[in-house]
Amino acid sequence: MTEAARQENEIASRVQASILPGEIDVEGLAIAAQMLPAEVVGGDYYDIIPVEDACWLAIGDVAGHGLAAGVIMLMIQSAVQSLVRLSPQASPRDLVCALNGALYENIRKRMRRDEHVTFCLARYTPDGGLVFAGAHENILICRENGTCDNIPPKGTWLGAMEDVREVTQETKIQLGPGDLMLMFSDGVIEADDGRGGRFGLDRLRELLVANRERSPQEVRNAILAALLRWTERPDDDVTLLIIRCHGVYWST
Amino acid sequence: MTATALEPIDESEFRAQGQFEDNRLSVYLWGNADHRGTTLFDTFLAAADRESVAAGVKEVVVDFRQLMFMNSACLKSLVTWLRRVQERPPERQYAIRFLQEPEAHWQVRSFSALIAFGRGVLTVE
Repeated sequence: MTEAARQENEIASRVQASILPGEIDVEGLAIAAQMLPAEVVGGDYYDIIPVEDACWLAIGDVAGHGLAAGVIMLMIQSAVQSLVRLSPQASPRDLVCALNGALYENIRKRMRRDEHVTFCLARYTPDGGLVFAGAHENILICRENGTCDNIPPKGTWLGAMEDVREVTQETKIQLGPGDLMLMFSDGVIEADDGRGGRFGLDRLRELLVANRERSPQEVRNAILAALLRWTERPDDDVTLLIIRCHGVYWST
Repeated sequence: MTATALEPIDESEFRAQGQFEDNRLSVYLWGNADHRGTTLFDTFLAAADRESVAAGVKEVVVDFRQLMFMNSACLKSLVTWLRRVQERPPERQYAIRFLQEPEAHWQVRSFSALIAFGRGVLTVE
């Protein structure tokens, strides 16, 4: 890589890091998140977008990494921000399908590339309702009683087919006070210990359950510490989005 | 048609081989298809597609049951392959059948997404 290309990559990396949300206050929720890119520029993405009477949560992963994946990630970030701000009351399914249309047009038709995106968009409301759509990793929810729900998404990847409406479904779940939710990218469970062993979903779930009494920041740090003991240097981007439901406010 | 084989992948962590017989190509995968295997897998699938069309096969069966792991870059290779087949005139297409290991989380998760845009071409058993 030339010096100029290296500098441009570093600028892209800074843009990408700065566009992710920092610590965000959302009424009724405590949230901690982290994205660690495997290369200078990553293909993972997450966002937290509070709107009136709701909070939108998004997580995604562009297949592959490097500059092209990073550029597509920035497209997703901008498109999701615009869609949510234009239609804060919309259904996640409708916005996922609209996002897919934009990605298909850009990636397949204009850029003539073959990346696809795993993506999940969720809308949380203060009554504890969470509605999500898309196809990303499973969502883990550790209930206050210590049980852990493992909820698979129902949909397909984005950017690879023109219209995903037929195959995109919404899932509705109820969060209660004390529940702890984890959204993550494949770089977490697929981290390789150098001998072909994967970190795995079971280990992640055990960590979540073992740390369920701790704050989201502490849970995040515990998972990252375990992951970096497992693999010194992850070969894929790693994203964690951890949400604690503090209170449920039933609308009148 | 006489039985012929594709040029295999024979790495320490990842192996792939394909065998033509009658009107079918049977592909077997073993090990871990991670970032080290991406380019090899791309080349392997391109050859599988090219030779399947040349041989006029009706079906390609890919056995994933001994494959422990596939990363997103190799999954992208599958997407590219499916798309290449779908974009051909129907008379030059062939059916694709994946044999999955139902206990493998990554296979269940990935194939349930893949089957949506492999419609008309891909089935998963």
